[in-house]
Amino acid sequence: MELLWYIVIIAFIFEAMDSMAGMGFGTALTPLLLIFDFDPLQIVPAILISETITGVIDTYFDHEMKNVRYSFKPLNDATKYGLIFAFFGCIAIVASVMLTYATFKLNKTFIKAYVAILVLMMGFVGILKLSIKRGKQYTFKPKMLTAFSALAGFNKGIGGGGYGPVITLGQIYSGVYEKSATAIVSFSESIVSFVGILSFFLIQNLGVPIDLVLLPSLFTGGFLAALIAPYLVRVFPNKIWKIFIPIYAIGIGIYCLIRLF
Amino acid sequence: MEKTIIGKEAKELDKKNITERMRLDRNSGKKIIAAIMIYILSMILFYFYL
Repeated sequence: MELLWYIVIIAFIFEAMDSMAGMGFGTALTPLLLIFDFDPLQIVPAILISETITGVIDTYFDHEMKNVRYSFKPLNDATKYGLIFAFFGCIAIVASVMLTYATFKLNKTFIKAYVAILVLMMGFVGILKLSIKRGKQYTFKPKMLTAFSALAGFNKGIGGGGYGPVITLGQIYSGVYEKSATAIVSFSESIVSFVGILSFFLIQNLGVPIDLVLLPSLFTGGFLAALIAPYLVRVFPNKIWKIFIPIYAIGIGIYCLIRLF
Repeated sequence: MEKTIIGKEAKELDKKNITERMRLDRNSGKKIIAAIMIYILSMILFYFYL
């Protein structure tokens, strides 16, 4: 087992951003690790295992820091919608893992361009609405919330990614408090990542080799971030997250578009 | 239309000043230590199985 310190630092930064803004870990970290010459079968399973454990820690401390409150008995809205997002995400991740190894291929450039533009547009709408609504909270719209989770699952399922940004911004447009929106994404992402691991183990049984050399480094950086990020979300006022989340989404959208050319 | 219900406690906490938001319960400290123990145990498992 070897700890690669540059991976620990990168994982810490991206996991912290992911926990605070609800997006970016998979979208931004995977291409960066590919640049460092790691193989997708070294990157994706390690990210999924790391995300499952750090997602649980992040979820627990978001609850502890009162960024969001979960309850299974009785089932409250935060838990219910977290599970709905996870449901669509689980279908999506199984579909995307299977599609990667199926002979049936989709036009990846077109799909990724569509997701990048969607994330970019949602970020811009977030900024525009912020200036129009002048800090007011959106009205809670449960149907819109379910529609956004299906859209996010569809995007991830066809291999375009963008699950975190669409779910986070979708929640905000549907009236969920910004701090709670990012916390709920961590909850559903930990369940989705767990199902993703199971899909990879299925593939491994079919003879595809998986290398977990990156796991200790990604896990160390991600774990530290999962401990610190919920506290930072609690301490900084919501108006900061209101501005930071759409701006970060625009950044991710631009980054995805640049990678296409 | 329904009012926002998700994030009610976070919203209430936001009304308090930063010093109060920075303050943690004594139990939170214990839970952070427990989380660090989980990290150490996970790394020991990785050491033996990877």
